[in-house]
Amino acid sequence: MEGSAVEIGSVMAELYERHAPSAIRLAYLLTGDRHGAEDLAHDAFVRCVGRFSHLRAHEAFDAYLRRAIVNLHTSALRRRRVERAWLAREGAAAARRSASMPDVGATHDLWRALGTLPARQRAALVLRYYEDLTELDTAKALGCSVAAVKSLVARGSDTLRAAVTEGELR
Amino acid sequence: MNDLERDLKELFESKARDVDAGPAAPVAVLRRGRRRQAATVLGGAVGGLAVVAVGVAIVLAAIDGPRTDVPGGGQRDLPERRTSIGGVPVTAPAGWTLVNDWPLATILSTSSKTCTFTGTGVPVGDAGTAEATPAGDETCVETPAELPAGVPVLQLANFQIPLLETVCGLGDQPPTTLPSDGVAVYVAIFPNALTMRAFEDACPGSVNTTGTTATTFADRDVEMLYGAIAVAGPTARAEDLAVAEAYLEQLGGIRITDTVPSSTQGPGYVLAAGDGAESSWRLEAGIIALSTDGVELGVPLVTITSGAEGYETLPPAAGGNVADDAHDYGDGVITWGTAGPLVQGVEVVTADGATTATRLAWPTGLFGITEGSPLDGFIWLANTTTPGEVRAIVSGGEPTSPADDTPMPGDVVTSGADGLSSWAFLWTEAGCPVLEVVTTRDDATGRTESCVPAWDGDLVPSYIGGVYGAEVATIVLVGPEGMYVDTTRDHPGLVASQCGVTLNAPGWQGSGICVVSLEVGQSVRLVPRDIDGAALGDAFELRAADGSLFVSGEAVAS
Repeated sequence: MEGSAVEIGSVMAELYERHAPSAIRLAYLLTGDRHGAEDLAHDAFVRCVGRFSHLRAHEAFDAYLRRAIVNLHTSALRRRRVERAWLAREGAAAARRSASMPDVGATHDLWRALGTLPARQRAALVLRYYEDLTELDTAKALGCSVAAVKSLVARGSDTLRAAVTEGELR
Repeated sequence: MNDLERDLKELFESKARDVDAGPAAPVAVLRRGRRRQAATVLGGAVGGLAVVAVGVAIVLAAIDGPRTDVPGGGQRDLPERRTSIGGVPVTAPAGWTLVNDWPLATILSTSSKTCTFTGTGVPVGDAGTAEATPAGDETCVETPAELPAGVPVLQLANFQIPLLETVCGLGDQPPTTLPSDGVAVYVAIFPNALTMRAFEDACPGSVNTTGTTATTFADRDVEMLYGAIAVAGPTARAEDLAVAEAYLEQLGGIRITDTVPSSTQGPGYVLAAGDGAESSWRLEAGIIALSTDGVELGVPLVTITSGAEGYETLPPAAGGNVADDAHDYGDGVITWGTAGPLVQGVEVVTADGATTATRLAWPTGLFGITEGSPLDGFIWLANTTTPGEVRAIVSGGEPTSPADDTPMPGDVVTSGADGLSSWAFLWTEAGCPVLEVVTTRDDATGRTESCVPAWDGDLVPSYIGGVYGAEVATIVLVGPEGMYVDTTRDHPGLVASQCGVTLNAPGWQGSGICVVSLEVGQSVRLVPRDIDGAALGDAFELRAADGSLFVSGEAVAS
């Protein structure tokens, strides 16, 4: 066997410490919701450490994790399930925490406009301009073609540009 | 990098800095991570005991309801399916049942761990709470689970195995009853140990095979051992036994590239499968949501791209409804879904014509698993070279699009706004859309007198038109889907362009729209481009006048 439970737990904790901050930030940019981002990142983390062989592929872990986050985010089923699970688990406590969070989205037209984009358009923009991925790597993370990435970025940018213009006029 | 891209980058970095992502791993996350490791151990709660096959027990408990057989419509004899499950290659002959059990690997524990600690009990207080404070080191004893038949990956059989049963005993769950002429192959991973004698003992019917009974293989790095075994009833036909034994011989000694199982889907029956240049796919019917809260049945399309599995799921459709989705796998498009009992048939209409979808019956092994949502419709799929429009044939009538896709006169099929105008496309009784300007900066309204035509498949743009007011012109450009425009101007006036507009309406597949708003008295130079940035047509100039629009100096409307 690969190792004892203690060793495995230690490796996993180390992996978490190394990758969780960037994973949660990416998830936050995709969802715009802090608590949802943690849930999303944790789900993706669990999925990526699902096999011990992946744990040892440290250099590939970022890519696995990024892809898992994007896939989970764009899955409508998962969003439904997370919402249900989250409400059941956290109940009123989550609601109280959410209520005390500042509404950062409302302070920025661009951020607000991002929230109106379809999930895959938003993901394409985040991967290109936050993660600085190439179009090819973005396509791999999204599981689509490079041409589709260009289309997603172009459409997302057009919508944002229009929204910002509108905001400037107000 | 343009201004918008720079703004986006700064915004993302600023927002990301706002997130306080503490490095400490929540215990629950680590625990879930361990549970996903089929090869290792389950970190149980202190004092807890993880029971082998707890996952199966949870699921079985969740489905403990009345079983009512409901007939489903559609084809029951499935064609040959060639696919891989968890990285294990498999070809199901026509008419055989193939079950994807790989998701069970995420919930089956492969060891038990018992921890003890000494503590000081505190009497229950007024608040009704009690605490035990650990003192000293806890002691844990970890025991590999007894898994003589491993953790199932797939089952291939000439009969329909109930979805949550296996031909080999699994923990406390006994093996399913083999039909007298039944033949099956059971493939599993063995995270702890594989003892061939114990494996055979756990799988009654293995004694009835005549040739190769069992075999082993491994993953590419030989970190995981797999076992496969054939079982058969006493009157099994020789040709069926030959299928099972040929499969065992195919698996013997191979090295596979394994995949991570889904944690959100349950097991499912594989109904169809295919390969393409970019991905392979597998259509299943089974559990689409798996949790201790219960199960949901539906149809997942499993896509495998670069060794990673992705899932899209659809629930059963009711009445005369159709649920549909599509996946471009590189060499074509698989359009798939579910249909309610009032639906007679489904077809997918592309530029090449209409393709009648293949109807597949809901597997009888799913009946009675859940209460409600009877599986009384059917599952369907169609393979086309390009995406198409899904149409349902209801109660013997003419094909119609699903209700939510067919606009009615007066429906707003799409709308948008920019800094100068707010607009919408309205569906008309003539079966085509007009542009309506809802309001502009100077509170003007209006609509085009005639319909906006879809792209003609030739010129780009094939249509320039719009509503030209006293202060603002709202201009529609029609071209191929994905078209956008580069805009340049040599004045400070406002120009807004919004591309990527598509209409989900008959006749508009493949067409794309840009809406450009322009201040009267100003002009803009446009270059239509495709998503790769290539010019789709010649550059041209638009100039807005009061009530008129000029295109490269020529008035086109007033």
